[in-house]
Amino acid sequence: MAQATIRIPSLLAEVGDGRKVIPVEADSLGGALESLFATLPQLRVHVFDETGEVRRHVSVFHDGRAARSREGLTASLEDGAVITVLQAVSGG
Amino acid sequence: MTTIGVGTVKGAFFLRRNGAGWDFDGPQFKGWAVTTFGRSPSGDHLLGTGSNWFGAAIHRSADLEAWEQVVDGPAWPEGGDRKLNNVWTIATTGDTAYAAVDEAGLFRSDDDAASWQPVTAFNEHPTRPGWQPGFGGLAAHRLLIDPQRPERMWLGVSAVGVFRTEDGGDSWQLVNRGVTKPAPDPDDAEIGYCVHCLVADPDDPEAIWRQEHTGVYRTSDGGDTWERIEQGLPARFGFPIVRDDPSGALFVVPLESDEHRMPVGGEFRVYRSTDRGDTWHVSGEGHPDRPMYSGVLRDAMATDGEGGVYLGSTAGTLHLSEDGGDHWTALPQVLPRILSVAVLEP
Repeated sequence: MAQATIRIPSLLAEVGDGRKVIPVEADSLGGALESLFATLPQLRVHVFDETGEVRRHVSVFHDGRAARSREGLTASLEDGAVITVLQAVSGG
Repeated sequence: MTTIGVGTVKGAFFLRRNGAGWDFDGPQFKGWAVTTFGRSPSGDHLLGTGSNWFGAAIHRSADLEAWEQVVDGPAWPEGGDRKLNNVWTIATTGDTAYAAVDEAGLFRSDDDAASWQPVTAFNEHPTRPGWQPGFGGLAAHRLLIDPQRPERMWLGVSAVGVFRTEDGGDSWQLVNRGVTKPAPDPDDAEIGYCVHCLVADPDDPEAIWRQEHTGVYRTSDGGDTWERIEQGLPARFGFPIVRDDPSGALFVVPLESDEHRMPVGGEFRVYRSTDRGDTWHVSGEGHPDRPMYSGVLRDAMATDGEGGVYLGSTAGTLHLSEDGGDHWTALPQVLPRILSVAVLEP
């Protein structure tokens, strides 16, 4: 499995354990998020909505590219990958 | 020590009594909307958070310092079309806690707020297909529980109406006779009421007062019939209604019409009734002496059972009376828009 890093925004760190950078081990982008939720299960509802999709105003970037759909979450990871969960620009 | 929780669109703040003044603390949950406060059956503090980006959740704390999110909180089924947008109220009776939410629903916990299950008879009520959101969403936001017979409860839902259960939530009836609807729809005779807030007399749970979109009402028969009580008010519209239980005084903050939603003439005034709502008068003295065109939202006024009345405005200002509404003081802090004010420790 690849050694990767997930960066999360301040609001999620606030309800997580304070860390904004969390190391994970996974084969895919979706697997990396599952690894994050295994450590911090409270974050699942903040990243995915009831439809099982990434929330409308949340973006998941993998090495600088947005992965929105479920297919996007199947992308494989390489060692050193950086995944960024972002508060999408949506006003307010 | 008297502790007041203040939930804003950008975090929670706390006021703690210190001699004649108040210590100020916060923000916690910086950046999150803090929508309501409550207690678990064992006495832990609970609060609701929400975010346009990251959704809603319940958190718990034994000391108001260290918080832990409830992982198995209220949730609509995955794959459905309902979304949990906000947790608007948390109420507890005995070993059971209830949370009322937007998108309108009621959830209960029987394990000290650790896990939550839907109250199906309410959530799948036969009238649900006709429920329509108001400006503030489709929100179940106020639950009254009869302290003597906790199987009797009243649930307020915007913009649907007040529901009553007599059997602990297994069945729910709409109880809105006598209340005017904002926009009557003959095809949905039972629903379309827009309740903003409810408060009851703990010694006489049949007596309930109601700030509605269309005015202020009361019932003396548990909701079977309602009557208008607006004599002396400068406007019918408003959001919160609270009661100082020792004296029985009621408090509202009237706003000019549902279209304008501002204090009439910029005169921000709490109104008080000391005769169960028969008549209303400006509550004491000490209100802002300069124009203030801000309102108070439905969960942003609270009493402590000892004559304390606390409110937070949409401008982020805090106002309080410690003598049942005879004298009012504004605190110096200016916070984000205030959603919720609660007495956490009396």
